[in-house]
Amino acid sequence: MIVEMTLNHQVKRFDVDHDETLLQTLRKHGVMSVKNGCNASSCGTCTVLVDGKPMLSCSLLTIRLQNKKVVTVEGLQEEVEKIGHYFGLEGADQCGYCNPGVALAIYAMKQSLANPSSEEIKTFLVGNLCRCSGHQAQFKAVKRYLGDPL
Amino acid sequence: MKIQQYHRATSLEDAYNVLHAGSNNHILGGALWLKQIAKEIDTAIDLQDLNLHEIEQTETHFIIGSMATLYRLETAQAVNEWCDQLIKNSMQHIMGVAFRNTATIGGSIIGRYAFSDLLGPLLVLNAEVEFYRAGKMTLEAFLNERRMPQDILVAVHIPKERGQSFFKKVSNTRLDFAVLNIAMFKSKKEIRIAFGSRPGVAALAKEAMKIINQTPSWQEQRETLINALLEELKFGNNQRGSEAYRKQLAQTYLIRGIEEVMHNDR
Amino acid sequence: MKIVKHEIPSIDGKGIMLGHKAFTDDFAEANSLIVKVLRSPHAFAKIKKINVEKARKLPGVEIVLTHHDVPRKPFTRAGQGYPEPSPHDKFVLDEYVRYVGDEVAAVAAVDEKTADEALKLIEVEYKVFDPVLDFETALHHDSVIHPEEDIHEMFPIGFKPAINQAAAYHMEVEDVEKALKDCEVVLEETFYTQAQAHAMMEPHTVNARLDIHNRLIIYSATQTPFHVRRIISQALSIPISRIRVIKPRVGGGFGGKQALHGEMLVSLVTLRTKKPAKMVYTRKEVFESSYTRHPMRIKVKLGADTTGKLKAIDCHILSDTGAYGEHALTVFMVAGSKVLPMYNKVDAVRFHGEVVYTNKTPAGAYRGYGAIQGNYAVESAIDMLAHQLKIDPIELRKMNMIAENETSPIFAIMGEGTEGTAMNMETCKLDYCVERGKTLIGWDEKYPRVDISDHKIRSVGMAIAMQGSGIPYIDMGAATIKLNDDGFYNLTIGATDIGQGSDTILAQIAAEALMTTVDKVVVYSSDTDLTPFDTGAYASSTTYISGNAVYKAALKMLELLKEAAAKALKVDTASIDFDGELFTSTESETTISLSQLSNRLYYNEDQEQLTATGSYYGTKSPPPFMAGFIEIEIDKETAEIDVLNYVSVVDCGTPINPKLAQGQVEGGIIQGLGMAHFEEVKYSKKGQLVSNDWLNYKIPTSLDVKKLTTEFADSYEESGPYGAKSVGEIGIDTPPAALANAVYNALGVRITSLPITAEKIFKKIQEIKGD
Ligand SMILES: Cc1cc2nc3c(=O)[nH]c(=O)nc-3n(C[C@H](O)[C@H](O)[C@H](O)COP(=O)(O)OP(=O)(O)OC[C@H]3O[C@@H](n4cnc5c(N)ncnc54)[C@H](O)[C@@H]3O)c2cc1C
Repeated sequence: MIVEMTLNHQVKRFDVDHDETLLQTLRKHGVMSVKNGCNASSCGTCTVLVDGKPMLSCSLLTIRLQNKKVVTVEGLQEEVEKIGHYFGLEGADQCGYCNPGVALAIYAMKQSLANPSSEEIKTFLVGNLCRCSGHQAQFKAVKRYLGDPL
Repeated sequence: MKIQQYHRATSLEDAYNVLHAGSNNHILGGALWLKQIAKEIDTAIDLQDLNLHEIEQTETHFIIGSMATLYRLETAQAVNEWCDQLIKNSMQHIMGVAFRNTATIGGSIIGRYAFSDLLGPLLVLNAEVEFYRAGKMTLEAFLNERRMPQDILVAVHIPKERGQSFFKKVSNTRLDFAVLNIAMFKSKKEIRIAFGSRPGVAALAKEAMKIINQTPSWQEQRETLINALLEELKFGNNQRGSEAYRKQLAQTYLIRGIEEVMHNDR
Repeated sequence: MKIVKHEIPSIDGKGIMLGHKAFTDDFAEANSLIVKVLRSPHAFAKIKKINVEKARKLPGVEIVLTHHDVPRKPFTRAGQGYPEPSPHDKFVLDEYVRYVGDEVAAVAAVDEKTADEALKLIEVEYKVFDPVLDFETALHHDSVIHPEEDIHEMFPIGFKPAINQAAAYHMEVEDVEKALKDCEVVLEETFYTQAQAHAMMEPHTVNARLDIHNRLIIYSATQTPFHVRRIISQALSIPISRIRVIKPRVGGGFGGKQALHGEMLVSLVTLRTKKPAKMVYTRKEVFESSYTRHPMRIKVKLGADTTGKLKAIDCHILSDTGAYGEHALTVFMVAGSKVLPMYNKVDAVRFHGEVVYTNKTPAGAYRGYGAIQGNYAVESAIDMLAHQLKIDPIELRKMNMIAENETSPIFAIMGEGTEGTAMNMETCKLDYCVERGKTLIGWDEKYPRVDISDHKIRSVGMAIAMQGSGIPYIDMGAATIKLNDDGFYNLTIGATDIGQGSDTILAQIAAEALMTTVDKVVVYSSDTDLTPFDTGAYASSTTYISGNAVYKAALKMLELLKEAAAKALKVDTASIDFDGELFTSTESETTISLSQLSNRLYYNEDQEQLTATGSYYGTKSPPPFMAGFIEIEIDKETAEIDVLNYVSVVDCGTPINPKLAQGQVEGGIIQGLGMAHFEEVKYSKKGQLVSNDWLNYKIPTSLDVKKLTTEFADSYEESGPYGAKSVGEIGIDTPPAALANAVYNALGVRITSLPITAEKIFKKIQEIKGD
């Protein structure tokens, strides 16, 4: 079945199986930033933005996304560059497998919460698991990104 | 999860007919839970064109469309102002935001999940559920129904009642199912209390409610209250906790919850 | 130092975040066959009959492999140096299946759906045996898990499969029984640790293809590319020269990717079909069918006099290696060798025990590698002794713990599977770590507990730890530095970056030595064709071993540069001075820049490629040390715990990159707290792992620990590159004991098994009340 959507600001048509997930579709078409961590909506590594909202691509059926706007870090380079900058400064990068997903969640948070408290930040990002960093460096990087005047 | 056919419903009637056309046809909510439990589906029925994702209000009720996501309800200011943030508090630790942007109210209610963090709060808010064929019934009645309906959940109706709330989810990490959850709501009339993940599905603690609502000096009745609770509701064992521990949690948070909703009386 | 000890951002972090192809699966050929494995539903069974005809006939299926179709040559997947201290007790596929999730057969098909379909069409008839699920009854059990005759040990490790013993060990310094008898106080306790899961974010992933030379090219998410190449060559009997293993970015390893997982089957599929193939473990497979930490029962006896002087330590461990003996002996030995030397002033010490097979998910390497298990037991016991003696547990430690310039006889006796190496502690700032941590946590105000409200208590607890820096005389690393035109360098290293940041810190070491900046050092690592050898990312070896190799290579490069500059300036080499950019000579006014020199070397005169290679192996393993302090808030009625703060003060020598070092410590702390408090491992009665996904196996989230406070002691290890020791594992060791001690300090109950859950504490309190 053909699904038409906007992927990273370009209209795309995908011929998909009924049970194909967005994660599968994206990776099949070379969007390699989107990672498979658990394929069971538990870890957040596959996070993408659908109509601006962070969602788990491993659990979205592509066939349901007709006319939706999907954004991955490939389509958000400038903003992710900034987030990456602060991750670098805080030493928050380790293996990086969760980073494209968490970057999108961080961006979405900045769009939807004004001046979030520490608790609100952590609550917003809690679904993006990280086994490397101990979370604190990431948290500090997020704080700096949120304060970014740009 | 394998899906043979995908059907985008054009009306509730259409959805209902397709649902009944085969025993392995299923409604898609957010399909998160479905993905965990269903290996193969004949026809997946998508309700997204039926305008069921809105949250509306009347004089007396909030009406939550069954396709509204958990995050949408959690961030619905009016609803949460009325219920003293009970809904928001109960949902904040169901996985992450990306998850709650997909999981739906309908899918969360109709499965009557024992672990649900939402059913208890909806019970104490006296919520009603509206089905396409079966019509409206109280959530409590629905939870007590023996058979799983082959019907479509259209909306949840939450009466507009102001009051004080208390919610506690005891869990291992913040992303786990509850060992036990407790929801309380004190309206002008009464205190209502529900326990979920006992590990049975959420239920009102009616005997305890009776005592507290009929006894002005409840502090002297702590023992009676706790005994009534433990006698009425069954607490048991599962992977996440034992009966003994659940009973301890239940009595601790019964008292603390009451103290809090009483104390926060404004 | 200009580059080392500076907070340089990870060199690859941003590129990964921006979404560039980076990880193994990103490099799989688009038309790869999908390899899937049929896994055993039984904990212990023999395959009586297996019929794969229907599966083979399914359109889209390229190949089906059973134990009839694969070479039968015992090997170990452990991913260690050669000869391995792990028994060769595994076959690519075998007629026996030894745990729920063990490999029965493999299929390769054009897509995932077809592969899944094919698995369902395989008919297997099993003869099911009584499984060994309780490791305490494994020795001499009626069921023998490895009855096959062609398996063996590589050198004596106590391998006795007939009694389900994978390994055993005994060492004793002086007569421990006698020493204990003479002690005024003897403390005895038994501790249990669980089969923690690595739960790295990237599942085990591998893909393969043949290149134009018909060589097998493998991309693998591995910590040990060179071992992978060797082990595939040995087990599949193909010349090692026909194999190339490339390790791209790896999404976390923690020891779980030291071993081989899908590599054998994917290689076989590609070799047989000549087609590219790939395998990505499902999350369930990661939990169920890769590796866990070795669960252990640890019996500790401490003997002391009434002043608190420790006299004797006796430690017996029973370790559960699961279905296969990977890392069986060595993890077990590290539980002693990286714990007991901390109390080096005892008169007598004994360490002994057995490692047994059970019908469970195999155990293997895992950050901490035995030390975390041993640490939990010994550091809990030390606190218990302190309470018995009514001495502050910190004071007791200070009286007895190892100090700079001291040694322990254990270093010489116990290595990893072999004899050890005697060494003095040239750097040991443990005393500073303890004092500083005590201040940072506010010990004097908070020990043992403070009542916060009717319901809540706050308390503190602590533990000390040591680890190692590589395995002496075994682990080796090598680095090659190549000068390019215009004067930038390539640094090629065998060392394996799995997210810990080794590419970054090795570039820093090279840049520091070459007096340049990190952007002028282009790193390429872990490609068995293109980079020099390295044993891999394990045993906390990379900074110390590979870092020294890089340092040596850089010094050689400096010599070559000076020689070339001398030639160009027509002066004596000894007269050359180089500041990283400019060559000057005391003999001449003329100068030449590095850029000019490089261009001259490649385009103009005396043309020559400059490359320098350095190799290093340790002759000792200088331990990093740390003191860990936890502050918790605990509910008096429900025993729910909030971790308010974890203070780590670490002596890792020079932190080459303080921010990345801090990340190593903090990541270790959280993973250790996971083991201490959150990560429950559950098996069904039939031996199926129930906690086999993230719904049922809970790792700590951003909301579960309030604060981490991390500092480094001022320390300079002469033998390390720019004074560095190691920092990859040390962070994980202290949380279990520190938490157990804090819980005791709060409520007076001692939890002797991990994880320390609220419910366990509650039950213990009930027990005490009931007595
Ligand atoms: C990994 C994970 C962790 C979770 N953790 C928690 C937790 O901690 N606490 C908690 O409370 N919950 C938790 N949940 C449950 C979650 O919050 C949702 O309740 C659940 O996913 C169902 O919502 P859904 O929209 O995904 O429903 P679906 O999976 O789409 O549907 C579930 C069932 O309801 C049917 N259905 C859906 N919508 C309708 C409708 N309108 N009419 C009729 N039938 C319908 C479907 O056919 C299906 O049978 C978790 C779920 C997962 C997958």
